Amino acid sequence: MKFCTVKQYFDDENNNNVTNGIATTVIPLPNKHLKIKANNKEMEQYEQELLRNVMPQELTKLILAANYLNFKEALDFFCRTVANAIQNKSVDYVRKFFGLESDFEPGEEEKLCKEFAWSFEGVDED
Amino acid sequence: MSDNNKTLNPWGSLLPDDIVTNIFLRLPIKSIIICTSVSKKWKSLILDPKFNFISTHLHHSYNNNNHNLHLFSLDSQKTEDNKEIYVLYNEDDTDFTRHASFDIPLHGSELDPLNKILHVVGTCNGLLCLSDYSLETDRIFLWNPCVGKYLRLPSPNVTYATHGVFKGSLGFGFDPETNDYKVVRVVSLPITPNLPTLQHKVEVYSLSTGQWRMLSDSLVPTCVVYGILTQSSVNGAMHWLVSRTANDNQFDHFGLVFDLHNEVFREILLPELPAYTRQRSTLCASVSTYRNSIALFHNDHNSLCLDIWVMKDYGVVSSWMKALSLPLRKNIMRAVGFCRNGHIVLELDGGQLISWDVETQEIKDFGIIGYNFVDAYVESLVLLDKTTDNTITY
Repeated sequence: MKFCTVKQYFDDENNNNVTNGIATTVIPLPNKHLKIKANNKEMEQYEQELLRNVMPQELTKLILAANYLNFKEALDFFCRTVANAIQNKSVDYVRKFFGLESDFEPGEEEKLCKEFAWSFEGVDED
Repeated sequence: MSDNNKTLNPWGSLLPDDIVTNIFLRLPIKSIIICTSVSKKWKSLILDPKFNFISTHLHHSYNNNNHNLHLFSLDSQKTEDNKEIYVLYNEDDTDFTRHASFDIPLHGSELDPLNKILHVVGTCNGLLCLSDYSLETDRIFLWNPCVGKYLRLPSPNVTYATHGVFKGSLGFGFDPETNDYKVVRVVSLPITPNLPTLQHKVEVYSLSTGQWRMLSDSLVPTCVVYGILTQSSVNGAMHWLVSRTANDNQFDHFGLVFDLHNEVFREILLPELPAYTRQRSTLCASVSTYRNSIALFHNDHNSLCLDIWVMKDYGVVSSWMKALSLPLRKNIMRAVGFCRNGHIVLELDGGQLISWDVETQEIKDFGIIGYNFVDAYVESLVLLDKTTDNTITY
């Protein structure tokens, strides 16, 4: 099932979302996943490797590719990787990670920060 | 910070909502709250009721078997600054190290000038219902320690100021059909020159309306319900163990059930307890929740056993089954509840709390002596989206 979608994807020339580079990371994933499914430690190492070598931007593209290919295990893995990367980080760090800018009205954001001040304490240094 | 973003490329906004939500669900609560400040879209995904994220997060919490938590309210006399603190332990830890601890900031504040102790009425989906059970101050709160928010309930309709002295009880539960949290207050007004007969009144508070509503007199139970009762909130109903004076002046004991959705009372018969006596109004027993049904802990002083009964098919009286019998002589005082992983929480002589695995017979010590309340707990975001005037974030 997975490989049918992959073939269909390559045949679909209008698809610009995923470059060849990404495809080479995602496609071998099923094999890697099957091989090391039982071995959590290796998956963790792979996750660390991914975070070091792959920019957040690329990671987002990996997620989109996995989503498009309907590859649930890869999707869950990448989402978990992203969650671990932004866990306990500040608002600014999270924004930078996703390339987002604040679109709040002036004062709205201050209000939110004030309301939940305790959750902004003790976050990791950026 | 935005110098390296010359070409604005918000790749994060390319992610579909369900994937962003998938990521949120894997974050600890503190981080989820931080995400509400990242952008308007993210704030809306988490807090806007149309996305139902709080419910999704709750289901995710319940299904997360790596995170079975247990909540304890510690005796204020045994803590450092004489305040109650609430602690969470992970049931699956090999040594029970504290997962988190909370302190409700109500002591010595405007809301609590007399520093009265707040008792836990019950806990549901990460929310705690607290009350001082005091005629004069009569305060009731809903509190979610995980998101640092609490809300004080408005005054009930029947209070000391309006009706004089009364005896009452509180219950707290969740109506899954309307996704609403409710607090029930049952009161008995004593016979006075103005009131020739004993009167019972019931009112229900609903979190979604923010108001109390009196139950029609015809729907009120005819037994006397008062005191801080153990309760079990399961299957959209609240269960108490109560007694009623029978015609022969002895007592009948039964389970009083309040259907949180239809807001009606019904009764459930207890199992046939060995050496059952109708001579006393109280039974050496308490109700608890077990999986999706109710359990009964009974201290049988004749055989000196702690019997644990479970209603295998919820609502079917003939399905009461004695699951376990523990000898009371081995320092075991009583059972106080079940862990989400199925182990039994027992209180020993001296107030020590342990968890007991029925299958492996393994005992783990929580390292807690002296508690006011204990129950299984799940982390949730309930109340996070509440922005009414009487909701306080601290």
